[in-house]
Amino acid sequence: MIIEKIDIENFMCYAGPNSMEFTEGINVIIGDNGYGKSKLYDAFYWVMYDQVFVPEKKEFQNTKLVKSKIISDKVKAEIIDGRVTASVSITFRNLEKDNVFILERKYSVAIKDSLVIESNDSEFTVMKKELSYLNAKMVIDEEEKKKIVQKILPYDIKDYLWFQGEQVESIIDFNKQDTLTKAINVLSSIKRYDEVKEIAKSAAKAGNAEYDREVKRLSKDLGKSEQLENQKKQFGVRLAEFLIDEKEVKENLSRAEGKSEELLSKLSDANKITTLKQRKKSGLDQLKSLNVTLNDEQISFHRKMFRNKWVLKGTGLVHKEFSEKYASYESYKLEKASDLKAKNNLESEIQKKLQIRLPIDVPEPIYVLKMLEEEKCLVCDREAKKDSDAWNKIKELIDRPIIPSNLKSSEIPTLQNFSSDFKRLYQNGLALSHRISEIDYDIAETLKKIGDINSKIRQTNNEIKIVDDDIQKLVSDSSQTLENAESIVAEFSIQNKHVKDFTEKLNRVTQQIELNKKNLNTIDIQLKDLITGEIPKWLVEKKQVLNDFEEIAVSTRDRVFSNLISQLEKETNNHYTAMTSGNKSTRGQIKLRKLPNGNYMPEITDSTGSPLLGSNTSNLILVKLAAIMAIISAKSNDGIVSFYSLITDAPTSVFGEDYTIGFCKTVSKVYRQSIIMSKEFYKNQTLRNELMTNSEIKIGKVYMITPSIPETERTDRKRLSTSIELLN
Amino acid sequence: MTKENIFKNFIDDPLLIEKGYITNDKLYKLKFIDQSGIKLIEVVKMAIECTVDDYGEATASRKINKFLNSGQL
Repeated sequence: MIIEKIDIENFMCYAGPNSMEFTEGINVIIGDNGYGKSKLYDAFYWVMYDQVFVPEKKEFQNTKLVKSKIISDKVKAEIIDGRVTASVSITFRNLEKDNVFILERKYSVAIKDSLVIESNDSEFTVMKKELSYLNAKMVIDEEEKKKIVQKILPYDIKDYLWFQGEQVESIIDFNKQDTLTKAINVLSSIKRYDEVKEIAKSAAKAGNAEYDREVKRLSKDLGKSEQLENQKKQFGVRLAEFLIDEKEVKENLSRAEGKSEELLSKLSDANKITTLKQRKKSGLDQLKSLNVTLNDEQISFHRKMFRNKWVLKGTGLVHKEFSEKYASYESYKLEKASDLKAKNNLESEIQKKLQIRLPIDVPEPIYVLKMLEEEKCLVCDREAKKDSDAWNKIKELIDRPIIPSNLKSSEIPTLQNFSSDFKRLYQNGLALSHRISEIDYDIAETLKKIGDINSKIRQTNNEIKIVDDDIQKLVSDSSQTLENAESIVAEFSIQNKHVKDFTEKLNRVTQQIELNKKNLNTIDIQLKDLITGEIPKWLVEKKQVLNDFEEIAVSTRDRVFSNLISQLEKETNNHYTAMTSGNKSTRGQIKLRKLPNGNYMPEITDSTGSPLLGSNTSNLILVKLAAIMAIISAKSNDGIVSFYSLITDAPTSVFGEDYTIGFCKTVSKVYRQSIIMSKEFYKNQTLRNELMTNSEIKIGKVYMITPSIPETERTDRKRLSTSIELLN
Repeated sequence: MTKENIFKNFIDDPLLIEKGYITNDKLYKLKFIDQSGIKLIEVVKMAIECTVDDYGEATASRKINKFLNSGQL
């Protein structure tokens, strides 16, 4: 069944009549964000399921809720009075049977004075045409319509065939361990084997009960038989309880292993983040301590100006100079004192000599002055003319110093005696001179210490910055928050403990199950021993056949499922390899790991089979897409999905452009027909050219859709329409 | 998946040979539509038929029970 055509009229941004035809191969609708790709996807979905995706609610809603929003705003704005209808019609063609189904959905509103009067329901019609017989009929019966829809796209597999890019995450949710198993159940024939298994179990149970009744009937000791039957019942009840326990423990173990596994992929980054966080904390502590030390040193630096006498820095020469001057002063002083003493001695000598002739102040100065005035010595009464020797000698008497010469100011070195002060200063200086000589070293040492602290602070700041950058990079790459990282590490430890605990519990429960089974066998033997006569052969045979049937049913189901998983794993890897061929960084193989509860989880492993940690989001999404393709293709014998078309909106937007061509190649190989909405080919002309020309891609129709008004320039949608251009 | 495909998977089970229901030679010649003359295989076929034709578990059990009680092949 392929989609031949879609006709869209007045549906959302598709104002007026619009049409697209499709062929086998990969059909691509190219358009940038806001160009109408998702609305086109909605158009397909609406026809089939009467629902459209409401982005604000992030869910599909029925026409009943969305109502007139389905109809183009442009068309509604252009009508003042009248009726407006949105319609989408899809033509499906069954190439094998050469018949056509045209599914059409319509929704109308009445407009009166520009007021929209909404109706609740859409109208759905199905037309069936048999081309070989040239007849066509409108399907009236609602049940038949449903059957046709179900046949075109079975509801339980629609999620794997029609999906939006952002839905890929949830189609196979690695956090929900049974989603892959569910998908396998839905998309494979394994459910047939499950049904046979249930029939076998039920038949074996009934056969065993019938046999037990016969054993009891033939018992020679009914009382004993009754007693053994009761014991058997008790063991049966206990066994059933242990089996329930076993199932529950296995579920818990699987959950814990799953969580542990899931965390394991994040653990490496989480550990790194946690270690970096600890390093940051330690760096911050060190920084704090360094800042305190620096602050202390700076305060101490000022104190040392006085405490360590740094203010005297550079005064070493001053002291030397002072010492020299002081020495010179002392020497000068001694010299002067010596001179003075000599002078005084001389004067004393002179005076002594003078005193030989006349005592001092004899005659009295007034008489001496009179003698000088009269030019006559009154002592000897001789004439003494002015300026004569005699007169001069008399004058010498008056000119004789009054104060002893050693007391004359001109002969004293200073007026004040600073000698003691100078001495004290010298001694102080001498005491400080050793300290002064150490000041430079002391300051240099202190500055070096401060420099070292500053250097350590800078270094620590740099380290913190590097750690911060590493944390940010890790946080960004691993999509983990700092808080998350710590909780991941803690949660991993908890889950590991759970795994250990549940494994131990499972062992205990398994032992109990074995014990109860053994007890039941013993009772069966004892019951058999009580038989008188013979159990009919046909009944013995019936019991044997039914128990063997149960055994075969269980083992066949497991074997088929296991083969299916192997096939699926192989196919998934083929698709994954094909899709990732354009990306050199992609590594690993997909392994479908069986959990204790029987579910399967995909994981990326290295060449040794160990889980590959740190796979990026693109890789994980590609794993999911590969698994979906494998499950879908596994349903067919030749690995090609012939009957159903893949319709997907922006599947490639969730991974990089590197994967786009690989994805298209794989899709065109796996699906007979696919319709892909993509913006990657809008932005990247090279990619578009490759899409159109690559011989490995079976290309169908390629359309470019363009809105009449770009999304950024829209104030409303009242003039919005969408043009469709066929590119090939 | 046809009845025949499902049937082939069931008769691949080693139990059939181990318990002496059939020999290896005969096993490969078995077809869904043919009478095998082996009760276990006929029971398997009945279950497959009821499953594929959506008869349900109760109908299947009843048919199997009736078949094994009749002693017919």
